[in-house]
Amino acid sequence: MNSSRVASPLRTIVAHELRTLRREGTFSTLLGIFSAVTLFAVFIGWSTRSTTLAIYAATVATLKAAGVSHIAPNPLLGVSTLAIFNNLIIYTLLVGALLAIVIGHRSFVRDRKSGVVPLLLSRPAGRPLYIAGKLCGINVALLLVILGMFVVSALSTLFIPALHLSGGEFLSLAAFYAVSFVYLTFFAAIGLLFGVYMSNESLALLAPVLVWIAVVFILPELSTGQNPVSLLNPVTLAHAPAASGAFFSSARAILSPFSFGQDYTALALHFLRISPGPFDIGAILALAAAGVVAGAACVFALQKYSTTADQIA
Amino acid sequence: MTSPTLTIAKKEYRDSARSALFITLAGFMVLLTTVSILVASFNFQAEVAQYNAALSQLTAAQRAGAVIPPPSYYPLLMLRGTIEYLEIIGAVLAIVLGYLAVAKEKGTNTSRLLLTRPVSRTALVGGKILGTSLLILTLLALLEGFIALSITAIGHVAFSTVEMLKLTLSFAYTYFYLLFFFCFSAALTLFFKDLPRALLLSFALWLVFVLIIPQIGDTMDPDNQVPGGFFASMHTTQDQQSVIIAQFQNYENFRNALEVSSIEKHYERLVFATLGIKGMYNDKSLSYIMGDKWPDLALLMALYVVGVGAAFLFASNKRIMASSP
Repeated sequence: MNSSRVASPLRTIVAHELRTLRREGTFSTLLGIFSAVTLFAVFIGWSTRSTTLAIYAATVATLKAAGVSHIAPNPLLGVSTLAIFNNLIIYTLLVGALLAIVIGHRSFVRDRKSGVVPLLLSRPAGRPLYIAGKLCGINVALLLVILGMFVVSALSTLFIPALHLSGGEFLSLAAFYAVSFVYLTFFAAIGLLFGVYMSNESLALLAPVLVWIAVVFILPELSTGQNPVSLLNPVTLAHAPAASGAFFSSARAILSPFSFGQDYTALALHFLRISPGPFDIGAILALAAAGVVAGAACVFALQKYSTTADQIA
Repeated sequence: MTSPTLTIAKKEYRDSARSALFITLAGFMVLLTTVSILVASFNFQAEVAQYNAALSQLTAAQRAGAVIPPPSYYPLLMLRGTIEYLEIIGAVLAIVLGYLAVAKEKGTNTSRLLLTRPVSRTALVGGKILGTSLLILTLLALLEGFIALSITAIGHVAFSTVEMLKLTLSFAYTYFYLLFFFCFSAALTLFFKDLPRALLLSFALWLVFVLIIPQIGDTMDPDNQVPGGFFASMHTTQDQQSVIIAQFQNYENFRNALEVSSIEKHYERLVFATLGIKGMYNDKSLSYIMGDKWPDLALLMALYVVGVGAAFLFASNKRIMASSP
C-alpha cells in the first residue's frame, strides 16, 4: 500500500471529526469559552496589578506621613509584565483539561451511540488509522482554539494602558500556549481512551475526571505537601519552598514521571516569567510523552474493542 | 405499612450504595482523606525536626536561654486538606449521586409504571432526597470515625470531647453542603432531556462556583501578589495596612462579592472557623465561633433550602418521563 492511499482515509477521518465538531457547535462553543476565559483572565490580571501599584503609591504616602525615611522599593518591579496572564495557567489546568476530556469522550461515544463503529471498523482503513484520525481531528481543533487564545491575548495587550510586550515576551507567551496545547492533548486522549474502553457513558466521562483530579491535586500534594486549594494559586506555586523530609523526597522521586500537572505548571510559570526556576527540558518531554502514551493506549483499546458488544449504556 | 417515601428512600439508599460510581467515588474520598492526613502529619514532623535542629544549634552555641516557641500540635488543624477535598471532590460525589438518582428513572418503563401508582411526586422526590441524605450521612459518619482513629493513631493523642464535637458539627455542615449539590444536579437532570448534557452542565457550574470563583478572590488579593506578602515586604503595621486598604474599598468589595457568591466559600469559612484552621478561631469556644460565623451558616442553610426546592419544582410527570432519543 503506498503512502497516498494510507493518507487519504486519515484525511477523511480528520476532516469528518472537524466537520462534526463544527456542525455540533462544539468548536465555536470551545472557541467562545476559551476566548472569554482569556479576556477575563487578562482583565483580572490587569486590574489586580494596577490596583496593587496604586496600593504601593498609597503605602509610600502613608509611610512618609508616619515619618518613615527608608521605604522599600516597589516589590512589583521585580514581577514580569507577563504575570498578568497568570490566571490562565489555572484555567487551562482546570477548564481546559475538562473541556479536552469532554471532546475526547464525545468523539468516540458519539460514533458508538449512532451505531456506525462496527461499519467503520469493517472498512479496510484499519483500527489504528481510525483512532489516529480521531486524535488528529481533536488535536487540530484544540490547536485552533489555542491559536485563538493567543490572538485574543495579543490583541488584549493593545487595549491595556501601559502594557507593552517586547518581542521576547511575545515569544514567551507563544511558548506558554504551545505547552498548554501539549498538556490538553493528554486529556483529550484520556477522554477518548475511556470512551473506547468503558461500556457505561457516565462512567466513561467520570473516569478521566478522576484521572484529572489525581493529576491536578493528589500527585502535586504528595510531592509538595501543599493543600489542594494552595495548588490553585500561581504565586504560591511559583515561590513555595519544596516540602522537606524523607517522605516528600521519596514521593517526589517516585511520582515525578507521572506528575504532568506539575510539569505543566512549572513550564507555564517559567514561560510567563513568574517562576525564577530554569527551563526544564525534562518537564516538556514528560508532558509530550504522556500525550503519546495516552494516544497509544487509545490504539490498543480500540484493537481490543469488540464490535459485538458495541452498545453503550 | 411503610409510607411510599420511606420505600423509595430505602431503594434509593440500596441502589446508590451498590452503584459502581458511588463505590469508586467513596473509595476515592477515603484515599484523599488518607493522603491529606499523611501529608499534614509529615509536614508537622518536618516542622518538629526544624525546631529540634534550631534548638540543638542554640544549645551548641551555648545560648540555652534563648526562647523558640515549639510547634503546637492541634489535631483538628491536620484536617485542612480533608476539608478542601470534601469541598471539591465531595461536591463531585454529590453531583454524580444527584445525576444517577434521576437518570436511572428518567424515561424508563419503571418511572412510567411508578407514576401510574398512587405515589405523589412529592413522595418520589422526598424519598430520593431522604435516601441520599442517609447515604451521605453514613459516608460522613464512616469518614469521621476513620479520621478520629487515624489521627489518634498518628499523633498518639485522642480527640477531646470538644474537639470531637467540633468535628461532628463540621461534618453536619458538610452534609448540607453536599446535599445542595445533590439537589442542584438532580434538578438539572430533571430539567434537561439530554442526560450527558445535564451532567456536563452540573460539572461546569461546579467548576465555576467551587474552583474558579474562590480562586479569583484569592489571586486578586493585593497581599498575594508578592511572595511572602505585599504588606510584609513594605514593613507596614496592621493599622497602616487597614488605612491603606480602606482607600481601595470598591476593589475589596468586588473581590469579596466574588468570594461570597460561591457556596463553597461560606462552607469553608464556617468549617475552618469551627475546626480552628483559621488561626483567630483556634481554641475558641463554639458559642464564640457561632456568634461570628452565623451569617455563613444562614447562607449555607438558605442555599440548601433553594436546592431542595429546585428538585421538587422540576419534578413534573413530563420531565420525569422525558429523555433523549
